[in-house]
Amino acid sequence: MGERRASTWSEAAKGPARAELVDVLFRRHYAALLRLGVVMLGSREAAEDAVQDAFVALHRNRSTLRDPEAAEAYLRSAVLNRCRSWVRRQVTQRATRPLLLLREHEKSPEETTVVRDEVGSMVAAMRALPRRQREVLACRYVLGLSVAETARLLTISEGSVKAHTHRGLQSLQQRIEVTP
Amino acid sequence: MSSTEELLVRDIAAVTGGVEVTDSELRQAREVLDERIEGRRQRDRRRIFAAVAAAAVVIPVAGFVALQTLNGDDKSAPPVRPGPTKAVDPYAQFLDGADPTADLVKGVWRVDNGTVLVRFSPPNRVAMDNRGRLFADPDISGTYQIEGDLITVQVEEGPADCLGQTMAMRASVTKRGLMHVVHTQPGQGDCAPEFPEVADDPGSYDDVSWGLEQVLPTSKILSGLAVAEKDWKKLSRQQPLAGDWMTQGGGQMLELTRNGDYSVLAGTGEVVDRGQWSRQGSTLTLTSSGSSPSCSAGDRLALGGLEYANLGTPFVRGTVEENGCDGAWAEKTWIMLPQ
Repeated sequence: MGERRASTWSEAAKGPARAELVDVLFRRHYAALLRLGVVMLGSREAAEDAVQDAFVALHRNRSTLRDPEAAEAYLRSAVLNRCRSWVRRQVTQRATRPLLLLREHEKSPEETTVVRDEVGSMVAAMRALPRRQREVLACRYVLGLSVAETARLLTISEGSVKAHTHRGLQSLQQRIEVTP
Repeated sequence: MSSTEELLVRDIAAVTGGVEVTDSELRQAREVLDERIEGRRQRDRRRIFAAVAAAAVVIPVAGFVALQTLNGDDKSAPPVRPGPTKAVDPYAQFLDGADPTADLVKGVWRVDNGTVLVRFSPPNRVAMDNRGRLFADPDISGTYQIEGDLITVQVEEGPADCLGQTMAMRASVTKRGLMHVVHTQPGQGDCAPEFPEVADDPGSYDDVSWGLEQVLPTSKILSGLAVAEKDWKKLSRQQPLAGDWMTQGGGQMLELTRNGDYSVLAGTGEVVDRGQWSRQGSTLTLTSSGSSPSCSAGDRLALGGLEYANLGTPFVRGTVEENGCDGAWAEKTWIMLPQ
């Protein structure tokens, strides 16, 4: 698999145009990155925008573009960054809206639990975790990266990856409905 | 793999399994990407052209100025050196208001749509809490100082890893009773703004801003809270009462701690009564202690027939059956501040 990828890549790399390299990367990674974006944002439209943005940025980054592994890491990191910015924009919009007299989304314990068989309820709960926790969980379980790969991608230590994974899962565990 | 991991992996598979990319969608997405890359390229070209054009103007002017300086007959004002690039403040609009002063911040504030209560009291004390014990035993307490729009908090009491930390926040009183805060140096671990778990990296939070509304003295917005008559129900035994409450219409706060102590506060958070509270059925009784500033030891306030309404946070009211201290707060409806 690795050899085939490398050979495909070197064929593309021989080509003169950056557009061809982007094309190869696009076909190879678009769907996976889109899935990552959907998990992180809960919106296909926003995810498509984040992935497109990441590829535009990659197109400008010639040195990364020439190295397939670096390009893949760059794209993943760029998508996560754009997801983060999107969430931050949502929060900033909230911060400038008129104040809420009472708590928004005041949920009963029934509403905050994760319903075991309801598709998407665990992923929705994951999106509500602190940023590092949700990013680490996305790297591990959406992208299928190892602890070491996650640490490299997020530029944090392997210990931090383990700690954030543990805390994130523990947080999700607390929300799982206890079924008799 | 733990059961939570399994559930998460299964749910991710279910969610991402629904995200299909057909060949035509991929082609379309690729075309959109080409358009965006082309758009970007054109913007870059325009930028380069503008930079080259600007350089073409600057070089002769700079040459002329240099020549004049060398000739020593420069009668004009010295050339203005370019100042540092002005950084864009993303919170400029959010912080558009009066700089905080000890007088403006004095009192009790609640984080909008949050659970944290903050108290500033003279001369320079500050306390923060999100567990309904702001006055009895706040999560964090310490001193504060204000310089321009910056409030710096030195933590003196609080959870173990919080002691000695310094927190800094830019603040702006946007109008009387409303304050916007941006944490420029959030606390670490337990000292993070929303008091999450120990060791959570403050940098991992999506938002570092707070909207604060004043509970004491009560802002106009908070004093306007009311419940329709139809929403009142009999208080159930399960409804917990411990926590921080404000009176409907504002003016006072009541803190009921889990260990049975209570405080009534007025003004900017001064204690006007304190003692022990108890609940029997639908009756709440507050019995003043010897340390109460305005009531005598043993004075009782008994509220019977307690009723409850929930408009996102509990409201409680009762009928005054006994009011030994003649407290002005006795007949009020109480609104729990989210914790």
